[in-house]
Amino acid sequence: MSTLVKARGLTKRYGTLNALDQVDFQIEEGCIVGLIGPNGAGKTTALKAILGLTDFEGELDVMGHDPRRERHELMRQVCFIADVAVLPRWLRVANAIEYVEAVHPGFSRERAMHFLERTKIKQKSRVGELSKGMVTQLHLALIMAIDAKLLVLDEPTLGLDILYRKEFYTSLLNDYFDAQRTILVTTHQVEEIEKILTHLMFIDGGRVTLDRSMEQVAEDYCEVLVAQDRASAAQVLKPLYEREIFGKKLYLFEGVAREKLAALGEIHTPSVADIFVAKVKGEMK
Amino acid sequence: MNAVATRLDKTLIRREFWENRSLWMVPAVVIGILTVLSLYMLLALIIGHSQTVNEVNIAGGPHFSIENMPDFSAADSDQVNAFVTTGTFFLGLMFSSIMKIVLFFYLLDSLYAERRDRSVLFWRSMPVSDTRTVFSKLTTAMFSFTAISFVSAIVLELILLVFMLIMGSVLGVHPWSILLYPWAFVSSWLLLAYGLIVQAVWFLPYFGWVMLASSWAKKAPFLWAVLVPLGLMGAEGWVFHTANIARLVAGHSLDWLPLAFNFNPDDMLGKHGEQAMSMGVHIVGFENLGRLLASPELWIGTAIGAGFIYGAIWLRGHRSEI
Repeated sequence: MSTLVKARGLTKRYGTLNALDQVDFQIEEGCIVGLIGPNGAGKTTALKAILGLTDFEGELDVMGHDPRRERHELMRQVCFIADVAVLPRWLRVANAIEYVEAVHPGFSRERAMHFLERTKIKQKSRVGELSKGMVTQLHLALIMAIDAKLLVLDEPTLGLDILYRKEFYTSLLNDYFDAQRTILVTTHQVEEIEKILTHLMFIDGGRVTLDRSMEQVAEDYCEVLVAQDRASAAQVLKPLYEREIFGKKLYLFEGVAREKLAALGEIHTPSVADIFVAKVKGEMK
Repeated sequence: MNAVATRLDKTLIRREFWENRSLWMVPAVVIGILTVLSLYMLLALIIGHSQTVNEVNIAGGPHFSIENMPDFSAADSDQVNAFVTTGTFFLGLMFSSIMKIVLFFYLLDSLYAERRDRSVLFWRSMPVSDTRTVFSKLTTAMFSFTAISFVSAIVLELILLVFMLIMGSVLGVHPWSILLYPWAFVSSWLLLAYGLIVQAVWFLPYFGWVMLASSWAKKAPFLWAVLVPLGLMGAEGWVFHTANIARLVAGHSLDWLPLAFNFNPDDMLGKHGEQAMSMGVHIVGFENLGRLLASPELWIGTAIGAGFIYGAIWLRGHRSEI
């Protein structure tokens, strides 16, 4: 397993605002990394830096390339979908395929057709005639037909209906992902991707506030449902976050042994969304 | 590797034509309209002739009569040459002027539209460098200018020639002998190609400027492209009471003519008919290529154009978001 992305002291300033502030992280080959953060946290800035779409300070190495100077070299190995619907309205589906086939050495027309067959998209249509969901489907079909080492997805399923969203992640996992590929994905629909992630990274206020594997996350975080009368015993263990549920207290702990917590009440592994809320709200205190 | 590169560049240029159909549709429509108009005149003349009326007056339009028809039954090669060259010249002038307007709007959008609709994020997610992309757009402009102007002028010329032959036959002035001098056509077309290629290179500073404005503007690239030079001209006039910038910008668009040909646009003004026609003979000749290549204006203009293009490439890499 090799390291695909290595960032050290990655900083991006917009005027006085630090969109990224001395950020360090690594992305290893074969992982599916979820980059989660509130709006304006620096997620998109981090992705753009990796993709060579923005200037930055600090060190950033993406597969041996400096993305600022070698974007087009890098794009042979990296694919990305930034937001939704950035395909131009005038482009015909057949021409889009023809274009990517000609400019990208790793593109397979067969694979693209295979993905498109499952949709209602016609070859002759222009992007402007397709629904928002279909545009995303087309873009995904084009990108997933490219044999790339790193796939970067920025809110890939925005505007898609539930059926296709499910299908998308299933086919991403079954048809696309393998040990040689790495996926970096951001989304607000955390619950949709948490089952497929291997690594989790939180970013907030321009800083990485959490960066570990999903197994580690399951080990480190634990939720306990505690009856009101035992709340003080739980408070002693310094929970990260608390809320009330059915008249009981629900505490979220970080790095506290499960045996200790089990004595207080019913324990279970929190969802990524719960950990995220706890981290963000907890930091604010 | 080379084959891959050529295919890539070809596709980049085809992409430009997918997006900008006006590049070929505008001249095609012009050919269509002029063909229909000529056909109308032709029919009017033929019908008029059969009624033994030798003149046709289109309301407010040009005046035609048999007396104005060139008679080629006794024409020698010089006369045919002058006639054909002048015809090619005016058709070339017309289509190259049309293409300049079309290309102004094409280049104005070339690096702006993709940022406005954010499709730049898709294009830049492909392994194509900014330099290559910008050059594909510049190549599209230069290629369209030469090839489309050239083909359009010749197509319309041949259509008009056929009409003229039909009309002449009906009117009994036997213009068929013009076909005895095919070299007149070939040489005029070579000259047309030469003039168009020279202009495509000569106009690089204009092309480059518009592309720079297109990659710079966060909105209204038209205003940037037009108002910045106008503002500079105004400032110069206000401060120094001179008009050097205006003379430079406007003058450069015509300076190629006397350099590339034995032709001075100032002489052209005020001359009509016979004189303008006979001038066609004098502009023939490639001996001026050396003079053109030796002119500092060509090289300074090209260097300035290259600077603008470099700026456009840099901006696409560093300012791709609106």
